[in-house]
Amino acid sequence: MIASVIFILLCIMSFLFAVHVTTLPFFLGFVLVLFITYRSRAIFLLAFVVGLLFDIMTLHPIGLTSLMLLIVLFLASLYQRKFELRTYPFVFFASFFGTYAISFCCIANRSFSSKVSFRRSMPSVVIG
Amino acid sequence: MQKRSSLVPIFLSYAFICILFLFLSFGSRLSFLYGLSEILLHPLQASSYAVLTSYHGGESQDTLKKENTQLRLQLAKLNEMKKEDAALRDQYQTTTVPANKLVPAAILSARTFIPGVSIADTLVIDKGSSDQIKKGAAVVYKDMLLGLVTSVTPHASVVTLVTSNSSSLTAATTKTNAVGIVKGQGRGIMTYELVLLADSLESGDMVVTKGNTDDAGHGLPPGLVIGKLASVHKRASNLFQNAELQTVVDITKLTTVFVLQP
Repeated sequence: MIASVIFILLCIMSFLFAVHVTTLPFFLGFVLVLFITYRSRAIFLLAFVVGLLFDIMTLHPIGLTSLMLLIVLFLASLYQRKFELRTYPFVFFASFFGTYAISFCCIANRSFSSKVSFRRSMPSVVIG
Repeated sequence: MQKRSSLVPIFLSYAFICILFLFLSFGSRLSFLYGLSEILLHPLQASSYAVLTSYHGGESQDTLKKENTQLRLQLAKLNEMKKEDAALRDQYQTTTVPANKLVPAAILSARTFIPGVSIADTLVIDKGSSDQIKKGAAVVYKDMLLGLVTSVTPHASVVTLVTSNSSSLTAATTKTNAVGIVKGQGRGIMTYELVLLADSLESGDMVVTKGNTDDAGHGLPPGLVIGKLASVHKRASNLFQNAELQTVVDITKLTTVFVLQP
């Protein structure tokens, strides 16, 4: 019960922070860690819904963030047989490349400069 | 643990829906969805932005700890109303910009790279095409140009600030009338470039918009303050001189801005 409440609060907080305060994709790290911990298909639904809401609230093209989150989660799932996912190095690399991929799409959308992409990927590693 | 094979169809089905949404979104066929969701989400968005920015705005931590969530929300709303009231009074006393052409808009989000350290490059405001806001409209506060509307949905718009690295506009200095280009460098930095060596640039001189409006009045009016010259770089061997430009408005303190209509 307590774990569920903490999970919901963290989910809402990370989402609101990403929408209003920071350009760092907080929820990417959150969704990734959730997937690595539970490896449930429900996390895909969560990523889909969170991505759609994020795009609507930040006026990005609808579906872009959802697609990127789903791709990151799917790639993480592909590696679960070859690597131990519940390790710091995996979370570090997945957070870094996930953020970089999302930033890359935002460049196509003219939201960020290419210099920013690398810089914003670094703190994501720490968040992850 | 889920098997990989069971995740593939789930991933593919969600990805298909996302691509469908993207396709429709780029074709501007989802404006009704933006409109509907904006009507539903704006109150939540405005409240959460007010709470997050009031906390971030530096109120003492001791006071914040004493307040419960409900009180904090009420206080943030009250502060927001006071700021809006003050902003409206200030704005309508400003003489350069005609008051009948201004549409007040609340800031819904101003995301930065590191909150409190870096400065936002874009804003989301709560006025859109249903309020006759059009792409390219100037967004001001008092006599100061904040940015231009770059994307519009039925009930919200994205404003790209003049400090953004995608921003570039013609300007002139007030004292010496030296014409140049103001280019945003991101992170709150601007440069004043392509000024002829023959022209004179002085530190502290204000830079204003040169103006670029069409017959219908769309575009950027002249005389809006962009910033103040901080330092001038002039070399006899160069074709042009340039300068660093300082913003005169702290975007983090604003909750209401004004969109200029033709």
